[in-house]
Amino acid sequence: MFLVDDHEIVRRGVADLLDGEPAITIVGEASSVAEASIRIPATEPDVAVLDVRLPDGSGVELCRDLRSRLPRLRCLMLTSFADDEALFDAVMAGAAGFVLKQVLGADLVSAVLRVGAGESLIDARTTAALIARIRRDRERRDPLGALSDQEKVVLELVGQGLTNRQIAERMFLAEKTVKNYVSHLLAKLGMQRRTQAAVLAAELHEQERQV
Amino acid sequence: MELRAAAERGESPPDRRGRVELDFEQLLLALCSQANGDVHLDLAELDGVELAEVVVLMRACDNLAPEHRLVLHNAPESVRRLVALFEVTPGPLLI
Repeated sequence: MFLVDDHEIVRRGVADLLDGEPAITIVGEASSVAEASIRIPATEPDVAVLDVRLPDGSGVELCRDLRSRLPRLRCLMLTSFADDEALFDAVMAGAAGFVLKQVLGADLVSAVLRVGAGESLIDARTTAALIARIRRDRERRDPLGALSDQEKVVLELVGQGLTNRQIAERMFLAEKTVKNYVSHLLAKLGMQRRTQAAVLAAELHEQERQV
Repeated sequence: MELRAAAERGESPPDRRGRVELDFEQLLLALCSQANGDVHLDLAELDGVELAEVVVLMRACDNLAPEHRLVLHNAPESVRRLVALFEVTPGPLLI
């Protein structure tokens, strides 16, 4: 494997850790995109461990460039924090793995071995960020996705211009309960005023009518 | 799939405004479709999970080659129960 990180202390730590694993041989190190672009093709490693941020460019762009020149090379991205957009770029660049530097230890050995064997992986914190992002994407596509069934009914009635008292009578609820539903649905929709919710309900009706 | 095709070309698809549209559900599917082996996700730090997200994981299984598996590490009990409901073979491997 080949290691690219601009911090010598990180390279030393990773090298010491991986040196103890008989299945892994470190064939070279680099501290910049420019250096890695020359040395990796010359040493032909199976796996390149790349820091996402390098002083003269992006590890993700380095991954993309190396993969276009060396299609059999497997890239494992190392990053300091769970950055879901960096993960997106890394996967699009053909990276096989994405792990936080904090996993240094047995988990990093296991990650290098897995990527070397052709497998792909994402560490725990980045997976959590990925799932949270998927949830946010879904909620953005469906603006009412975060509302409960009762809150959707209340929103529909707010959109018809009914007061809390009228909604309470229609739904056989206490007026205070309806007030709570309205507060909750406004908070979930990121709105401050009842009229904003009414406009949203009207817009959604218009969209449904046009479909 | 536009994003998958773009991934195979090594680029990100622009949206109608010309910038990259980040769709992370499609990203997970692309990660699986371009994998040459098992795909490992560590769920140890997942803060709750909804049925819709488990559905995405099941769809990710469908994007893997038949000989490869989605391997879910440290899956919380809620994920295990929901995955069991699907009875998909081969579904994700829970370890």
